[in-house]
Amino acid sequence: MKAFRMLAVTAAILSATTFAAAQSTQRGFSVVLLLGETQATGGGDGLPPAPALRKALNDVKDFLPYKSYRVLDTQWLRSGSTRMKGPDDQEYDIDLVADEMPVIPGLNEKTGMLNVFFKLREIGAAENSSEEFGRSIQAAELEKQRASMQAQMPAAQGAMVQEMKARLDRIEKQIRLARARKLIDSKFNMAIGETVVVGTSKIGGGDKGLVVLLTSVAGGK
Amino acid sequence: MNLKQWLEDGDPVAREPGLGESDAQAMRRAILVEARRQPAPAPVSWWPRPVALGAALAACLALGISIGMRISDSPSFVAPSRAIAPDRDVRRQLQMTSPGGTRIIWTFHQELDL
Repeated sequence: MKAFRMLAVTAAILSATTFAAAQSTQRGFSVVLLLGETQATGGGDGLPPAPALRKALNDVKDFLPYKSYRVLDTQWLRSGSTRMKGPDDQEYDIDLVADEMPVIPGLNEKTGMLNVFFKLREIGAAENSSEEFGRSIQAAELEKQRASMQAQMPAAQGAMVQEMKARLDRIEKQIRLARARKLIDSKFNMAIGETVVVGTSKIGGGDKGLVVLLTSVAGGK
Repeated sequence: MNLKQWLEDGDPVAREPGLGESDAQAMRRAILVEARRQPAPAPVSWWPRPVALGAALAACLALGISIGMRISDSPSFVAPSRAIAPDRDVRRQLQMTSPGGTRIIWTFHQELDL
């Protein structure tokens, strides 16, 4: 019994120490969302001016097929969730959880290492596979409705045309929500001050990709 | 006459009348009274099981983190590390490190239109 109590107290002190250390050494994350395109666009490279970000992109440019980058949104995040603007009015939910890894002599002797869980989802994306299944059925039903309405459009006249267009727009939005996906769900370690390039694209390339430059920013003690 | 028939003819219970309504009610009442007399289950002691469980989890976590760090501490060179099993929407994830030291964590989707 006594041994259990001592163990619990030790664990509590260790947790508090780790938390305090994390608070004092890591201030938050800079999250920069970029759109990478295989077609070069005029008017500069579109990269963020921060040297660390430019260095990170220069490091990885040989591995990515993109010729130009466009900054879509930039946010500062301590941890938790935020929403970022994407291309064509698409928005993304970002979830970020970071825990400082405890120093364990003989096993982990590096200080300032973070265990990071990073998620990027289209707004309204399903939380789990059963929800995904329900959404796919809903999307299929909505697509049928859209096809039916599109078939009726040529016969519509007068005010009916506007009404049908408005209904089509609503259905398009509902389809987009029902088809929303989890794009990135990654777990990795990173050091304080490090920039990690997290991204997503279509298998086989595609002409565009979403690139996130995630930098863990150190804070003063 | 076969064996089955002999057994059925010799069964005294088959010729007994069924349980009367009053007897059935009396039996039901007796069962309910006994059930109510049973003592409530003793409260589970908070100590030490949750703490022991927590300590075991913390130990497993620390061990898992340390093993994970050992694995990820391999020399930084361009090398795909692992592909995470795809789920329903067919995703593949690749982690690599550039010669400059910047890490890339890339997720491929079967269908992604941006």
